[in-house]
Amino acid sequence: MAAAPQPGDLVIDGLLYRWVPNTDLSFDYQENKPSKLAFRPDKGESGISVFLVALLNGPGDVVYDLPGYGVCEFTAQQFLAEVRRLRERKDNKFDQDVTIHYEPTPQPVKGRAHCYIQPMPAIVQKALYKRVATMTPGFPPAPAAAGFDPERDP
Amino acid sequence: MGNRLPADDPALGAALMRLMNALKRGAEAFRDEWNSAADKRVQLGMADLYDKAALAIDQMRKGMAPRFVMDKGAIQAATDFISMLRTHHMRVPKIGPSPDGGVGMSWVFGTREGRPFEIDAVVLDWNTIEYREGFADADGFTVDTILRSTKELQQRLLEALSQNAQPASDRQREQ
Repeated sequence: MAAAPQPGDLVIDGLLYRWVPNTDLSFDYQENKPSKLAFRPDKGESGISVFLVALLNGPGDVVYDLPGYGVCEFTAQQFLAEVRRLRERKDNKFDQDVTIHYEPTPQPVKGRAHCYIQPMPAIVQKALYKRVATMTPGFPPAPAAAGFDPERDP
Repeated sequence: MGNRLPADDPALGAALMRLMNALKRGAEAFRDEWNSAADKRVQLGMADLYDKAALAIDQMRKGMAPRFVMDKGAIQAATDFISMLRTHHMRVPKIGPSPDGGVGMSWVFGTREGRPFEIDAVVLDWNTIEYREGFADADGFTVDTILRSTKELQQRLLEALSQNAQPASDRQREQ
């Protein structure tokens, strides 16, 4: 993004960070990648928070208040291209307009970089964890603090 | 972990292998083999998985991960569902807390055509369970619906199991 974004601006390019909880089904500990619940909205929300890398000091800003969490990343271009591809395929029965808006918050450290992606239907969540998002090097989640994986060794 | 059998106990290993082979023949064969398992340690070893799954769900009540506030109804319904799985000798899912307070569950199975098939459920309370199933490599889902009870979830799971002969993880172990 060349100029400083203004609140409410559409975000169409730039690298984005997203936290990854250290829990089973949010992080895939075998594949070392975000898992099925990593991009599911919080209760009462229709979208998810992400953070513009250009406005942060580094990935640590995203998880400074979330001990144990990891960080994943994807570009706005990658994400929006994937949404377009999903919409173009008729057999997906998916025609929602998914957008990324710059919505800074007063939250310390990372609030100034806050963006919101909405809506976040299951097919888009699946695209994010299957194809779009990758873990940020050096920021894996800590061992699982909650959940259960019958395949995993103790 | 409880489902792992000691490598130096061939009798136990053979018993588990018979159980896994029965699973490939279908739910009825699995039940017969289970009920006649000469070595009860096989049953005990697998039953331990259900206990661990139930314990993991109970621990979510304590809100051990930041930002997660678990719904009490979801915890109770998910625990009840694990009891159902135990009763019907059904496969224990991967389990995790959902950011909206529910309990997520996920199964992956192999299919005859070789494409992994996924079943995902998020138990939000006693009568709201998000249910999705579909091929792992597909964009979307073949089923995407809301179920109204854990009993309905169990029935859906049984239907999906009957169409998928063998868990993917077991197939990988054989290769």
